[in-house]
Amino acid sequence: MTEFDDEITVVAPALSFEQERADDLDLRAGLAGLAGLVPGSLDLQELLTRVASFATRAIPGADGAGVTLLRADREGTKIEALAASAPFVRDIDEIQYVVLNEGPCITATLDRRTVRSGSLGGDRQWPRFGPRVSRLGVHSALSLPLLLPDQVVGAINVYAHGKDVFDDHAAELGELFAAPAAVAVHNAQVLTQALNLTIQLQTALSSRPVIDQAIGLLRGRTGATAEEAFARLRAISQHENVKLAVVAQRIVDEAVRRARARSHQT
Amino acid sequence: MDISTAWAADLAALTESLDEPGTDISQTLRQLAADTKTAVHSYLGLSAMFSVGGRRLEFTALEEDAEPEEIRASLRISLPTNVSGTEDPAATASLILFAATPGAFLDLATDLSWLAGSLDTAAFVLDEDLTVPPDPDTPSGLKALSTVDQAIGVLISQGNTLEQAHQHLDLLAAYTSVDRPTAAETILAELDLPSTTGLRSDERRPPRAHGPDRGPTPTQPPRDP
Repeated sequence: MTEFDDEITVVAPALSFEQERADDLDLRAGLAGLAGLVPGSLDLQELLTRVASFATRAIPGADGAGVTLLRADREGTKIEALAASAPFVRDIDEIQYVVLNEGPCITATLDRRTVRSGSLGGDRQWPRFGPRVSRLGVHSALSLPLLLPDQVVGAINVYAHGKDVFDDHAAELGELFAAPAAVAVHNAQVLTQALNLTIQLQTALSSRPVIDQAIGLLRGRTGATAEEAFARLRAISQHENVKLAVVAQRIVDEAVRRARARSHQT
Repeated sequence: MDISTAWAADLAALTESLDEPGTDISQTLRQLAADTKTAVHSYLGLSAMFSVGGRRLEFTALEEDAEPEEIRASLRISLPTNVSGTEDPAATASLILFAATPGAFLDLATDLSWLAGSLDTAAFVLDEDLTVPPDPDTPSGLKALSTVDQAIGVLISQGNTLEQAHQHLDLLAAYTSVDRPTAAETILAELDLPSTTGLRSDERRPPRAHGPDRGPTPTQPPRDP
């Protein structure tokens, strides 16, 4: 599962009993953190940021980590960086996903395998990404796909400033961490989608009456069709950079205010 | 996922109302279905039940080739209604997920329940909904409600306050022995009458509801004593 870099020979020193014990404790702490994610919170980004922080803690040598997810929208599926444990990780994400569309996380996600490098500046896998990130003083990367039985949902990307920081042991610990993280992240996505659907439908159901009233009002004034009246509302909304429902409410309120004034006069 | 044409039209209209570029309620629904299917392989589909401000939306969207008779497991999720900022205390939001394998939602329910944490208004109920809610293909009534609201808008444009417009519509429905949506359709149909063409916009719609002694027309109920 772990990819070994052909260009870089990593000689992992034998771990002392104390070091192994410390790493094990760090991993346990990270996993315990994972098990205590977002009590009372439903913010996916917050959850992912915590996953990134726990990964930094669980994987020996890590200086920072980020989480990316595969997201589907109208334009198709894309890899999106959603959380970072440190500002320098955000800078790397920007280079990887926005500027170059190349890097270890993209490789890990698309190939569904763990990817690592101990010398990004000279790594031939990412000839544009490696040198740029190396100039930021980041030389080691470990990217762990978030794998479910038949799907990859994203990746955890772990970085370190030193060279050859992530050895076999770190990769193994990372994979141990990534397995439950994938389930937690995916289930959080299910809940987030359910909440998104609730928010979208309730907001739309709440705003539809006044939009329809405004459509009727414009139809009554101008003889326009419903489609023409809606287009008119939308044009006003876009011109004024104000939400459609707000424009509609204003039009209806103004007409009702005038009607009340007339009513009081007579 | 199979969303019927009627529901697709409703969801498209609601997406328009949302007025958020890049957001498509059908896409959110499809993503939720896809994510659930990844978590629960025998996932068959879902029913959604939402109401706010007197508007109700209920529909069922099963996976292609899935049959209601295959349902052996369900997870009903009652979602907190305050997430959208609605002030309607009677608002409701529920989703029911269906699967073919008994007990399929046990792990997911445990995780979701725990992830929802202290949101005590969220509730998760396992395996109590093993049938699809009745009449899933019946139109939601959103179109009828849209017609009523547009007619209210027309009546406001004729000089009525909101209360007067509702009263006028009720009277018209009672006078012509039809329901409110049908009375509303009559009002909207009048907008398309050829007699209005060629008039200036301010001449097109005389204030019928308050018009002086005109004889009753299909859109004119008797005066309220």
